[in-house]
Amino acid sequence: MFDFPEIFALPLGEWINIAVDWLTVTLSSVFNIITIGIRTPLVYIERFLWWIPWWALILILAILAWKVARHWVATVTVIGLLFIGLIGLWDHTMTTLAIIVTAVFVSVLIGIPLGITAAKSDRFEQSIRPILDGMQTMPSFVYLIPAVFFFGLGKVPAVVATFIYAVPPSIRLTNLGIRQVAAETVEAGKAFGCTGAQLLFKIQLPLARPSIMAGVNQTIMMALAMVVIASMIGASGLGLEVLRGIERLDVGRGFLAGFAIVIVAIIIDRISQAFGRAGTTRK
Amino acid sequence: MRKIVTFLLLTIIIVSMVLVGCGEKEKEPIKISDLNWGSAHFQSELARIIIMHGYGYPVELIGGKTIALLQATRAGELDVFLEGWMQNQKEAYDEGIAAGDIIHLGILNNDNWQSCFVVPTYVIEGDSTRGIQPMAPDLKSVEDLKKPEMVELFADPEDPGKGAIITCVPGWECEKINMDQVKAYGLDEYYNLKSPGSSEALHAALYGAYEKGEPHLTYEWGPTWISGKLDLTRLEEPSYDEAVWEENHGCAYPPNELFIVGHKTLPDKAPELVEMLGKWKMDTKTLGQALAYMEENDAEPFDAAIWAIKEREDIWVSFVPADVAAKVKDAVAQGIVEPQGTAE
Repeated sequence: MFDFPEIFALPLGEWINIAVDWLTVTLSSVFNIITIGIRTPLVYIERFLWWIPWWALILILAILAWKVARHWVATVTVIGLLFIGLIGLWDHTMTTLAIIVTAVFVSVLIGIPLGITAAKSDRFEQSIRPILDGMQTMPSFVYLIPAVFFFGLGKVPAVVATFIYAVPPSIRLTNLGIRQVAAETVEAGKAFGCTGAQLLFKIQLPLARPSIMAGVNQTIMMALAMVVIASMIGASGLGLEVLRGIERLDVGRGFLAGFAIVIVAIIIDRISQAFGRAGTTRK
Repeated sequence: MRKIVTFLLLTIIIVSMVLVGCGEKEKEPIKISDLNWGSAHFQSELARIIIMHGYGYPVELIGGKTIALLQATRAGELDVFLEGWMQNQKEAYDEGIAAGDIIHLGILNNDNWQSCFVVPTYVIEGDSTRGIQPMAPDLKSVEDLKKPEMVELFADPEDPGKGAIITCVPGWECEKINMDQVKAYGLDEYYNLKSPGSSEALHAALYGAYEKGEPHLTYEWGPTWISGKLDLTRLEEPSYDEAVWEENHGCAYPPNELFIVGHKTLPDKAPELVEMLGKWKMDTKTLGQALAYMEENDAEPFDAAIWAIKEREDIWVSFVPADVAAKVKDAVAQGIVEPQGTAE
């Protein structure tokens, strides 16, 4: 009496398995193209970060922080990065940074145009919303394993998984920002004879900038949250250090790598937030 | 009115929760590890059914990762820890034994294998049914891996010019041993060791490459469902030699000892279980069969355990006295054995 009639229990799961197996083989050339598309910038970014001397990178980031954010952010940047280097995690941090930068780059490249489309079309917005909800709440382990089938091990599936988790805020907040631009302003633009493109690039996007930057900032933060999970499919860097630490119950090692992730997060968060604010103060 | 209904509903829920919570409580429950790979799942499930229905103890399986559960056994949160791999857990095992927190119950298997140099057989021989040509017909031993065409075949996409070997799970002892082996064989200048991140991803990568018919060079071990299901070849390595192993791990892995340990209180709590687990033996072939059964029938570890009890008495009957075996068989025949979670 209490048992649920589980008529779909086996077939549905089995169908998903068959579909994944089928996709793995059939679309392998598509996946290979995506792999190359992600790996090429990733490898160059990583090589650049490894090539640039540590003091030069710290200097560049500190100057950037000094210019756009409050001055204490620059201090935190210098101290935080020096700390990471001194505990021997510099190279791991650079690898992690390369993965994050690539994932955020891909997310922004795809997320902002989708957000604009969603702002222009109610129907598109309604159809994309449940998908975004799914991307943010589906436990990432569920799609990590198919990602390995499709893209192999390492940084490429890590970027894909990070993208899935991190792109929704970029889409949502771009959409929201454009929709929040006052109707009068848009009317005025139209009255002055703006074309659609002018309306978008000269009025809506600039006014929506704080919101869009908040979305990008959220994307970055969520990408950082995926660092350890992405390492479970072989992405090297700080996440792998955390995994090594916890697998051996070496709590210290885990925490050090964890601290490094937090430091990177704080620095990127403050600098990218300041970029959003810099836009508004000038207006 | 609405308040009364809410009150009644709440009362019913609370009362039923209390009722559900009251079970039979003659013996203290035995808590058994349920480690996160196939052969351990199968054995834990089998042990659960035998202990519950043969010896009449309530049993709880606790899932988790190796080190965490071994520590839990030391702390007494688990009574039995089943299928530890000695080489991988040596340090924690020695510590626990030395401190007297855990006691050694038995070695369940010592004919397993692990190797850092496993390739799908189609890489060497091709697979005519799938139209795969042999990619490296001359590949026999680890020495052959130094040839430029092999390095190219197993190329590391992130570091062209070098090959890639998928190594062991981060933090496991084999991760370090694999690195030593690659160095000792002089392969480190040709190959990068790539971390798979987790055992799930290690298997998924091998499975994905196998489905696509791509070249793949990886660490793997048996018994696993994947090494039972896929046609894999281990490359020849210098055979195991204790002196060489001690010096630089420059030879094949020795068979590992798969151990069972228990918390120090187990002999007082359930002496008959200490005896049973001492007799618990599972060779690699048997475990491979159980794992293949699960894979082929899309079955849960629970189903495989039931299968073993019904159809493969040779696997388990020798662990227990005749009357216990009869009780277990009876319970299974009556169909009163249920998976964990639905029984409570």
